[in-house]
Amino acid sequence: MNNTIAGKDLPLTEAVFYIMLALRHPNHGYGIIQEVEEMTGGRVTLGAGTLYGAIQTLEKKDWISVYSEEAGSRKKKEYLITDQGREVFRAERERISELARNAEKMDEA
Amino acid sequence: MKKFVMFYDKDKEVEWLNRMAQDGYAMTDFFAGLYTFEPCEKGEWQYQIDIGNGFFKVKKEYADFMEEMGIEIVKCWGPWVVLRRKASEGDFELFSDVDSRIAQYKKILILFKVVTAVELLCLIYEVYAGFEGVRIAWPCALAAAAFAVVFFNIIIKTKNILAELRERKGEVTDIKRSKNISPAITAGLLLNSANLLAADYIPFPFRVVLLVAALGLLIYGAMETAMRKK
Repeated sequence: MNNTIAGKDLPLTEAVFYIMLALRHPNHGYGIIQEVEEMTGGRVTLGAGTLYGAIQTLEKKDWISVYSEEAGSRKKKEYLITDQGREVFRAERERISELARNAEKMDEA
Repeated sequence: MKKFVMFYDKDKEVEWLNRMAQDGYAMTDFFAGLYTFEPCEKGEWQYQIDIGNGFFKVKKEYADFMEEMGIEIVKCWGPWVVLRRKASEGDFELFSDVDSRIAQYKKILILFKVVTAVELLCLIYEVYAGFEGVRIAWPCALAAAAFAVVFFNIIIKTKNILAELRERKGEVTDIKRSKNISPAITAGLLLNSANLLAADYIPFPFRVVLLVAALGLLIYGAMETAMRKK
């Protein structure tokens, strides 16, 4: 996979956006759900199937990778965003900022 | 407690499993339509069904992930996985957004397209065998046709659900709903098939009565299908 961000990669879905954000530090499945719920004040509760599917896709795209496996006795698998993932997230952030900037125009006239 | 039920519609199956759990019966096993239930506290479990993460077994990765989420894998059957979670953990939904629901129904659509294609091949083969003089082939052909109708309806229903989800996403604006085929057709085909199979054991006048009933069902089904509003 190359490093250029294709147009079809954006916009990210809300679930993918928050999953990538929750993986700015090493995090495991349940931790992601909790953090996203916290960040959105309970508005976004990721379903297990949605999260599993997203993790599989993001791993395939090399936007996230496995950080640690079987640390200690628990078999919780931790993931972390990759450099390429950060690149995509940055592009999405710019797109959202543009949206927010343009949204201000609604108050002008 | 054991119950024999045939489900072709995952959503109806989930509804049924959850109703049973509400009544204090938790599904614990499944084999070819035979569901095993064990008593549980009323509403103790919530069930969901996932698809396409393995065949009769799931990847270790999937199993570990679900375990971490407090979700128990009750049974893997074909591409289907029956899951449950304690109701005390909150409402159990597998998919929280439209995109992942679309992905799920796309998998279901592919699955039933393959199954229907196989079913139609069987039907063609049975009709061929029937013309070659194999007596058992005709009732088999009728039964295969009945199943093909059932699967066709599932495909239509899944396509309609997908269209609705895409509309909610704003991808399409005017959704085209397709009509499904009346269940009376399925019943008529099956009755005809049973009548042919049991031909040697049913006295003649009854056979005629059954044949007329089956034809009546087919005609009624055909008319009902034609009159159905989109």
